Amino acid sequence: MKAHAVKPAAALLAAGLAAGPAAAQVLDEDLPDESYAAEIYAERGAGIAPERARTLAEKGRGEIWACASCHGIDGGGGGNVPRLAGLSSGYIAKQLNAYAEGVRLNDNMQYVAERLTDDEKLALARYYASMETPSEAEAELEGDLRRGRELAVNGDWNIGVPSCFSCHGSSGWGVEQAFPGLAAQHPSYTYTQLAAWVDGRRKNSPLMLMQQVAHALSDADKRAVSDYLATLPAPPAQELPQ
Amino acid sequence: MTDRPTDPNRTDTGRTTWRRVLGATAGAVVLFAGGAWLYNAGIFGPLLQPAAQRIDTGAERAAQNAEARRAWLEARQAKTADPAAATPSWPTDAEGYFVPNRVEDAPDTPFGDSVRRGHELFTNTQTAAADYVGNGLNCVNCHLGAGTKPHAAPMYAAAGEYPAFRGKNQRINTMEDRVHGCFTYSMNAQSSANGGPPEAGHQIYKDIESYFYFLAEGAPLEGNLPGRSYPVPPKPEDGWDVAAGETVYEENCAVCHGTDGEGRQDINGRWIFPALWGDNSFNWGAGMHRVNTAAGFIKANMPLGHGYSLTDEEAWDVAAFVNSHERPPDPRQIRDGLSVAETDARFHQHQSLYGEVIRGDLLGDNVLGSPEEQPPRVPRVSRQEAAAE
Repeated sequence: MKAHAVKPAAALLAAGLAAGPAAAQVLDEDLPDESYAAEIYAERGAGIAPERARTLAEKGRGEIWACASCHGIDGGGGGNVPRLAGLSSGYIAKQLNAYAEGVRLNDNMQYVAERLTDDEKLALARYYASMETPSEAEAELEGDLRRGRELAVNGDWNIGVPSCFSCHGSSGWGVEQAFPGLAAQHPSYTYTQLAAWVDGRRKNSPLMLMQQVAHALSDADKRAVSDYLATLPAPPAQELPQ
Repeated sequence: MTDRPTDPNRTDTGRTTWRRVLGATAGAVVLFAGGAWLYNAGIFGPLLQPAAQRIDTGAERAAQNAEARRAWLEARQAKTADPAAATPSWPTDAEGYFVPNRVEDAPDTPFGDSVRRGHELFTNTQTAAADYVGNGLNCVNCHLGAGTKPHAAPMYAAAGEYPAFRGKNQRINTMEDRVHGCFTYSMNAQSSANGGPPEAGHQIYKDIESYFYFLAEGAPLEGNLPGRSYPVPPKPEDGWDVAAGETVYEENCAVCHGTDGEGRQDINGRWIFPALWGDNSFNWGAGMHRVNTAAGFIKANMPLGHGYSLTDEEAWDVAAFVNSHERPPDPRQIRDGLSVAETDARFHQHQSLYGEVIRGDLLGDNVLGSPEEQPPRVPRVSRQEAAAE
């Protein structure tokens, strides 16, 4: 990454973390930082051993319950709780910070994320990114799988929607840090996120890319694409930035 | 109402008032409950949205488009059977753009097979035409929606525009000649395994042309369809600004295309976000290196899914910034053994930064003017292959 582009973003990011939630709101509106956040977190995590997060993930710490109590010991998730295994470390770290800052709304996740140190967040991100867990997801929303595949592979320019794979990779396994894997994700979770992009409970998408897509998709389309993505093979373990 | 008694001694006045209050309250409750039920049932949904903001669902649009094509086909068949029948008008969508055939409707015939192969070549050029592609691009990087999206150089519009005389090579070009040009410049075939575009008459041309022809079935043969090519916005009065374009790039483009325009591959080694400059991008002979052409593409289509979100000036500035970087050489420079200045004078009399000195580098100067003196090309390997070595 070219230094001149990253430096101001990294500086703002550091300022945001130091100043807490008030500054974090500014971060959310500042698109360049939103764009670079996942890559910056991935770089910051370089060198942290994923294993350092194992106890925290499996047993919790004091008032923080174990990640595994909801996301499963293998990071496979279930129902409305997302699979974490094989998502990029930068993406996971970005989400943990978004919960802590209140720019992504979920009471349980905010409670946990607020109590994690920066190092713990980065270690957890690398811990789950390096996991490889077979798919436990299946279509469960009665979506039209044919339509779901159409949206994933080709998109629908009649309603201004690019294909999922044109950003999330040809197998839906994600692209580098900023574009998370979607394959083998639980349909209830994917559907809930698409709804959250619409009603504003979630707005931390680079360039508001997902807001636009979610607004254009009908409820039937959201169910179709969520169900289709659940039928795909799970992503392999991510290569961690060293 | 006029003969209503007004005797002030009426003893039931109080009771009447209470009755009215009770009646009104009960009525309000009934209206509210009924309204709430209707609201929850979604009856008012379409009415509450301003007409201009209501977006049809994909299913509605698909049904409208299918109906447009069905009606056109019916009218054409009637016209064939009876020349006196009404002349069919071409099928259009809700916004007035031509509705192309869908590849899944291609017939189960040898021609349909060719259409499907053409679609495959167009969408997966990296694999389907691997021997003839010398960079990381696919046709669909510039022709969005597999060549069906208006204002993204749709192939249904281009199909009827050839044969045509082109200033670029000063002769009549058939569609095959035109696609040959795409391979030569946009796909940088000089760095491919074959070392150049597919030879004349190659099946690749036939299949791609079948696909274009099929898309365009029912379009008028007049070459000026709405949505054709890219809508170039008016050029800013004081020209383009490369430095301002860099800021636009960092804020709107780098998240996908990378801070150095390098593009991104997924872990399958497949290019997801195309490289905008450097070895994996189009070469100095491609149309997209012209600032006006790139500004039109960007204005209408970028960031992906957010077309028309940049101002005209931003589109021009970022188009200039993208094209102010080094990229594979103009094949005509190598073919003719020319200097950059000679190539500039002969082939680049248009809106381009070719031949200018930007950030201390002479753009176009990444070759020495003859094939023998070219630096050896590094074979492209996917990240997985690189990791395996």
